[in-house]
This record gives sequence, C-alpha cells and structure tokens, in this order.
Amino acid sequence: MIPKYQSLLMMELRAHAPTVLVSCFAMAFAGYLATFFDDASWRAAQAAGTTSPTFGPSAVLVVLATLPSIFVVVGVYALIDANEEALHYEVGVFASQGIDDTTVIDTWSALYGWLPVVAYLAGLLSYLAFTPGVVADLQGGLPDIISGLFFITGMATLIMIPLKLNRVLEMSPYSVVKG
Amino acid sequence: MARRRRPLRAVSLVFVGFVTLVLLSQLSAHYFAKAVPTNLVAKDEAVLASIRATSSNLALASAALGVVFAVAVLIITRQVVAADVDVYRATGLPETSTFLRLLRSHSVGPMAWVVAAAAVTSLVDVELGLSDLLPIGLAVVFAAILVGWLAFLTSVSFSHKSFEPGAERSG
Repeated sequence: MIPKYQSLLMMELRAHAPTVLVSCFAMAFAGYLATFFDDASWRAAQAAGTTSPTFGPSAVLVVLATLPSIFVVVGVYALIDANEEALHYEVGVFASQGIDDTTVIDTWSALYGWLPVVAYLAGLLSYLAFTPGVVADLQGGLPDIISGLFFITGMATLIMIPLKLNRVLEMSPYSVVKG
Repeated sequence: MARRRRPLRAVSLVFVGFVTLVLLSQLSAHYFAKAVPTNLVAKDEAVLASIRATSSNLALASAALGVVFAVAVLIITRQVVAADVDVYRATGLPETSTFLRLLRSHSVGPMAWVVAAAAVTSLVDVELGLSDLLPIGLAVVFAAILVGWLAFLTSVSFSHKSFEPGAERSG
C-alpha cells in the first residue's frame, strides 16, 4: 500500500504542482502575516508602556492573527472547488486502476492539507528568522503564539479541506461504479 | 434535481477573502497605533512608522496574492467556461450576444460579492480614517480580470473556424 500511495502522491504532485505551489505560497504568506501581527502588537504594547504582548483587547489580536490563514484556507478550498471536474475525472481513472478511495483522499489531503499547513509553519518561522529581535522580544509568549496559531490553522485546514475532498469523491462517477 | 453549475463560484470566495485580507492588514496598523497613548505617540513615532510601513507592504502583498489566486482559479476553470462559449456559439449566437450571456451567467455572482466586500471595506476604512484606495482598487482589478477573461475566452472561441465537418476545429 505504501509504494502505491507514494507513487500516487508523486504523480498527483507533478500533475497539480501549480495549484499546490500557489496554496503553499499563500499559506506561508498567511503565517508570515500572523507573526507580524503578533510582533507589531508587542512593539506597540512596549511603546505604550505595557509589558504584555497581548495588550488591549486581546480578542482583536487573536482575530487579526488567525484570520489570514482562515481566508487562505478558504482560497485553497476555492482552488479545489474550481478543480472539481478534473478531480472527478481523476477518481474514475484511479478507480479503474484499483486504487481505493482512502488512498485517494489521503493523497489529496497530503497535497492540499498537510503541505499547506507545513508551509504555514514555515511562514511563521520565516518572519522570526528574517526579522531581527523578534525572538528576543516575544520570548515568553513565543511557544504559545506559534502553537496556538499552528493549532487553529491546522484544525481549520485539516477539517475543511478533507471535507471538501470527500465531497468531490462522493460526487464523482466513481461512487456510481462503487454502488 | 440537477445541481446548478457555477464554475466561477470559487472566484467569489477568492475575491471576498482577499479584499478582507487587505482590510485586515490595514486594520492592524490602525489598532496598534490606537493602543499607544496620545502623549507617547511623538516619542514612539519610529516604532509606529515601522509598523505602518510593514502593514501597508503586507496589504499590498495580500492584494497581489489575491490577484494570483484569482488568475489561478480562472485558468483552472477555463475549460468549463470555454465549453459554455462553444455551446452558445454552436446555437448560432453572435459574439457580442455570447459575451453578454456569459457575463450574465458567470460574472454576476462574483461581481456582487466583490462589490459587497469592497463596499464594507471602504465603509470601515472611511470610518477609521484609513485609505480605501487599495481595497477598492483591488476590487476594480478583480472585476477587470473577470470581464477581460470572459471576453478573451469568447474571442478565442469565435476566432476558430466553424463546427462544420472538414473545418479546422474538431472539438
């Protein structure tokens, strides 16, 4: 099963490389944006004479930091939605080759779910890496910020995208063949 | 009942999502600047200016990313929309009527969404004293890309020879 999954993953990655790249780039950007919001809030808090990085109405900061990734996940959802007809066709081809629906969903979830989530983490970390002083500034709150943002984005991505992919699978002619 | 086909539904999501993302980027600078007491603004002008600069750069980057996403979705859905153009053409409709029908069937939804998002965004911008030029500009660019793309697909289809047997085009 593993070699079949790996070869399917590589084949799909080559076939959908532009879509996957755009999704990953956008998620990395969302991660960068989220860390910037946190850093900016800390700097503003410091300027205002408070010490907590989550100053003022912290709900506003949480919303600001999490919304970019939510919008990008909606964008990835839109890309899958636009690709729906091609994916229906692919399911038919995979079914004719004896590939089961779980393998197909796992492969697509890896491409449109896990890879963008990893790209998001890379975006989060790249702001820290390329902006001097951020790690020192956010030191205390950094693990919470990174893990919180990563958890929320990961949950949103890995719920919304597989749901959409399952729907694509169910709506494809493959479901007729299966029945 | 057959599901109504809306190949450009995804475009609406992208339009709304990225116009709002631009607004979010603008709002960040506003909220953080507001958090600094008035008597400290002059002292911390450098910090606030740096936040404002990064925030406006990221708003621009959000807009650019939105355009990339919108173009990607339009390219992905090309075949579905082109098939509609071919069907209109096969029924004998002239190019202008085909284009108008395409506009009516494929662009009303996305346009309505982008206009709504731009209206809400500019209202927020005006209320908070921010520049509404970027979200409105992005909405106009989105609309222009959509209309231009539909015009392009129509003209490409009509530039081919007829469907009759022996003609150059087979599909």
